[in-house]
Amino acid sequence: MRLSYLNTCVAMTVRELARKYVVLTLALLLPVVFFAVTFATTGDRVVPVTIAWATEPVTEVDERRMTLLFIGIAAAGIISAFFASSLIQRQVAANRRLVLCGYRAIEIITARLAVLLGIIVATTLYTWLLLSLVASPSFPAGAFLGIGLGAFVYGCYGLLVGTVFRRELESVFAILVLINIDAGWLQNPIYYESSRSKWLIEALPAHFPAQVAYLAAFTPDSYARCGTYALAYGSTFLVVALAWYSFRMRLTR
Amino acid sequence: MNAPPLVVREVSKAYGRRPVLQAVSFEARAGEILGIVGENGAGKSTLLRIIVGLLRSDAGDVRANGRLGYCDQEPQLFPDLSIAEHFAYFARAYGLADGGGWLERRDELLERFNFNQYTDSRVTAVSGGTRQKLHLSLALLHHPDILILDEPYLAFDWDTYLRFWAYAEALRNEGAAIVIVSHLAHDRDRFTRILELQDGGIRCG
Repeated sequence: MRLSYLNTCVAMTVRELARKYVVLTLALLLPVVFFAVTFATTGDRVVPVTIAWATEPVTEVDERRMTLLFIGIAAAGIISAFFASSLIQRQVAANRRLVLCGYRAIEIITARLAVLLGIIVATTLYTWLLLSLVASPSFPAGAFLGIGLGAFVYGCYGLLVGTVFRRELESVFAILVLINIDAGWLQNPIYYESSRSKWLIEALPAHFPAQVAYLAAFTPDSYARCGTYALAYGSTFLVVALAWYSFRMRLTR
Repeated sequence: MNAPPLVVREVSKAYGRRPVLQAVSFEARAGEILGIVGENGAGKSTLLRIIVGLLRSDAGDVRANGRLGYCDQEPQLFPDLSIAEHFAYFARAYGLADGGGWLERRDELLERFNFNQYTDSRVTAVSGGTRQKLHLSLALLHHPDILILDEPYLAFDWDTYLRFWAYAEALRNEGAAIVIVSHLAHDRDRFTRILELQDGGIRCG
């Protein structure tokens, strides 16, 4: 790995990204819209919910606070997944030309990952800060970690989607469908309690990040194990995506 | 006698059951402009992609002795980067970025193909012809010994087309081996040698 090559690739990727003004504006607006709608439509009653990884089966939580946190994870996941997919999917041919001219595929991939990591951190921080404005009292650091893990897992999923599909429409479909069903619906603890197929909810990508956030926000329980599982889940997507991308970038000579 | 810069031996390629290239062999010698012609679907672009390493052949081998420059039919560029940024990016790829020499080379290419007024413009903001000029210039940035060009002037205006051929002639005189795919009948006089792809095989014109 040559550092100067990596630096140039990171710099160019950041410039490309920073010039997508409309996309960046929409990304900034998305959590605002999600939180505004949630704030306007939820009540402040206390509801009993089941948090899958909590030691106490039923926990009483403030409906609005819980939904805001849940929707925050969904928002961070959507933003990360879209940026990740776009980073890896666009200009595959131009990137391959760079490899033909002397870049190593690993340098291009690592640069993309570095930029993705920056996006994940920025998205998490932004979502968490917005969440702190609408949810009072503010959520603890563990909730920040849960949102970050949600962004990480779905960022890695976005990478995989962007690698597998060659066109954007397919990627948009694959990202929206899964995030809507998973982070946007089934990971809400209200659904978990009465679900007839809990295993399905537990198998979805946002499950562990959501559990980390809920455990931190509403229970005194440790979230270390859930956090580890979330990292492992995201890393699996990451490894498959990288292997696939390397295969697509390979040269024959 | 020096070995030819480019040697293609018995290269075959099929897409599914359809053979496109069947045991194609040829050499490109230093100081020649080799034209590859043939009908649509004859396998010209496939052959070039195999030569540069973007596509795997089913059989045969390709030997290139020297720096290779490749310009595909379609401009492979980064839409949100400027023309200057493209030069910087590819200078890094070629390993030229740490020396300042590539800047002179960039300016020479900008001047030669007459698009220096767009240096700071993004690719999305320039015409198809200017994109094609950039695309070609990036293939020339590192002074390649072997130049593989797949219809590089399709979007050029007449003036740029003539500038391109004048430059190709200059490169040939400097000893570069140039392989060009072309559809244009009036290009034929400009080639030192013509290879026609027909029914998967090659025929000297």
